[in-house]
Amino acid sequence: MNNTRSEMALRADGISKTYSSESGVIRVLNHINLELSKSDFVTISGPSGCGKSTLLMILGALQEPDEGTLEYDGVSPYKLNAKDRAQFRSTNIGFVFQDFNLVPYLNVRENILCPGIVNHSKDWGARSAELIESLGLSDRADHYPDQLSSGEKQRTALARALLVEPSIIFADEPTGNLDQANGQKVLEHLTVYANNGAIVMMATHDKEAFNVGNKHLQMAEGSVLTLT
Amino acid sequence: MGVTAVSVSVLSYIISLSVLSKSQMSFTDKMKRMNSDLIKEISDLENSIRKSMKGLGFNIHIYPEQQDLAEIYEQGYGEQTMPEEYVEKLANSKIVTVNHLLPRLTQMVKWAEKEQSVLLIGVRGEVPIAFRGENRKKALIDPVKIGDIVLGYELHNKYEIKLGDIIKFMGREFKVTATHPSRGTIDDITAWMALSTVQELLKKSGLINGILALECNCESIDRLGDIKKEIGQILPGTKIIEKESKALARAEARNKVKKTGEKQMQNFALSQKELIVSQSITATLFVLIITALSIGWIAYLTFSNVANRSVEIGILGAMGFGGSKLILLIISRATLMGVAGTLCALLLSFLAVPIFWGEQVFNDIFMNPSNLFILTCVPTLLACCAAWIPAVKGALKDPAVILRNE
Repeated sequence: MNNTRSEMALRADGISKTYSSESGVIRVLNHINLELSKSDFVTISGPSGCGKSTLLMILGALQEPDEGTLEYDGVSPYKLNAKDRAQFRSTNIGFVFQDFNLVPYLNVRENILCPGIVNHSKDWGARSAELIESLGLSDRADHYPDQLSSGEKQRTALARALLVEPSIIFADEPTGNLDQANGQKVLEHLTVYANNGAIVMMATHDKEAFNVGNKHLQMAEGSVLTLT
Repeated sequence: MGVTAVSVSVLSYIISLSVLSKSQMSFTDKMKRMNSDLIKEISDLENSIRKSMKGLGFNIHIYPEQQDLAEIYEQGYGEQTMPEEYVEKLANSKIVTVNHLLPRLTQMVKWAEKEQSVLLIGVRGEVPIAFRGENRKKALIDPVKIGDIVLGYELHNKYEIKLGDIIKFMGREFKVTATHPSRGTIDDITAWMALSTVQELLKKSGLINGILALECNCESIDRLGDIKKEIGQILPGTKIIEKESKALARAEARNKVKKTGEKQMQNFALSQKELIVSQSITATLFVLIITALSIGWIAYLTFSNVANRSVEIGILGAMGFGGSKLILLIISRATLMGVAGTLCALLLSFLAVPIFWGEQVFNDIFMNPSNLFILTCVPTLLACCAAWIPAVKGALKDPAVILRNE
């Protein structure tokens, strides 16, 4: 993989988040502190509703915390305006979701090239071809999402996340809808990407997947139980 | 569905334009036909009046100023005379209120040979109005040649005189060149001769006692006043009376017909214009309602579309798509709806309008630049406007909320 990305460190201090609902205020995250540096592959596990996805959203500069600060090499994304924060995400952050979230009317190649529409730092054609090749999607490049298997969809989503070579990848249950073989392929790609200097944070219920990372974070009721 | 909404909206506009254009064309055609009919009717009436006037005889009489009019009304002519050159003076003037000038010398005489009273009239035919040149009116009566005589009914019937007979009158011989049928008027005891002959017989050389002026051109109510004014300026020593009003009555009738026709045309034009205004208002309301419904429908479809695409919008937002890019992405779909709907409607219209309303209406609608602009651009613009609010709402959605809910 041609690694041209900037390498960043992430620091989160006292991140807290509450949601209001009809049943009252729910504290989803409670003073989370994290410090990650390049090549960290952090796997997060915990029961449903423990705050894994919310933590990924907040760390991914998508959802502002109620309390606490987040910094990427001294840049605090929540102090940026919406446009600059969007630009920050498009340059530095990649997302992979359990449900793939591909754009239905775009084919595999076009889906992968989507982040390139907002990140104009270079022509992403060669990079997308490289990813299509490396993720085994060459014969599917012109197919649309509804013509793909789950594994192919997730590899497409992974390629999309990797296109602009972000410093950090947030993956929320990326293997949740995949069989073991396809799940394994996705994990291998994420591992390689982390080994090349990126930070990867992955929420998962799968024990095998949990063991893939070099750091393991256990959560319960919005708090970090262990970080090993 | 969005494409259908746009198509229906555009089609409703084209149908309204077609109906209005057809009405306008029909109105213009009717007006042209009515105008042409009116002109023909007036022309026919004028011809008929002209023919009638030939039979009616004279309608304006010019007499010497000192003539007692009571005498005229009592015996039909006056004893006072004026120079025959008066008629030349009139003929050489720029007179416009009359078309024909006939000098005459009239006197009741005794036909001694037959012991018969005769109204003797000397005529010299029509004196052409010089300034009109080739455009002067055709003469209404023929002159009586010297040596000829024309007899009224009683004169030839009573004495069994035939055409071509030579008769003696006041000591001279005359050839009967015309005999009139019975008219039941004083014409029946009238004899017409050349003016110069009568002047000799009556020893009134170079004199006349009346000029008849025919075909009055006056249109105003005070027609006699108009003639008096004009003739008075040319022949100050004369007086004018109107003895025969039938021709003028017909002229009035002609004017009335013309005015009535014009009034009818004005009323028709007014009612048609009111109808067209009413049709325009109805058509505009119809188009506005259809367009409003289409806009509402497109807005609803876009709201639904945004709701259905919330995950897509969320993921694009997460990847760094800004609000403006997301709005463009959403509105582009409405734009496609507008373009596709417009194309469908135009295609249908190109086929249907010439069939139902004809080529002329088709040209009126599609060869008009402002119509073409409205038809090609406005529906798409309206579709974009209809999608604007849903697009903004969609773009403002928090990607985190969308993805968390997902």
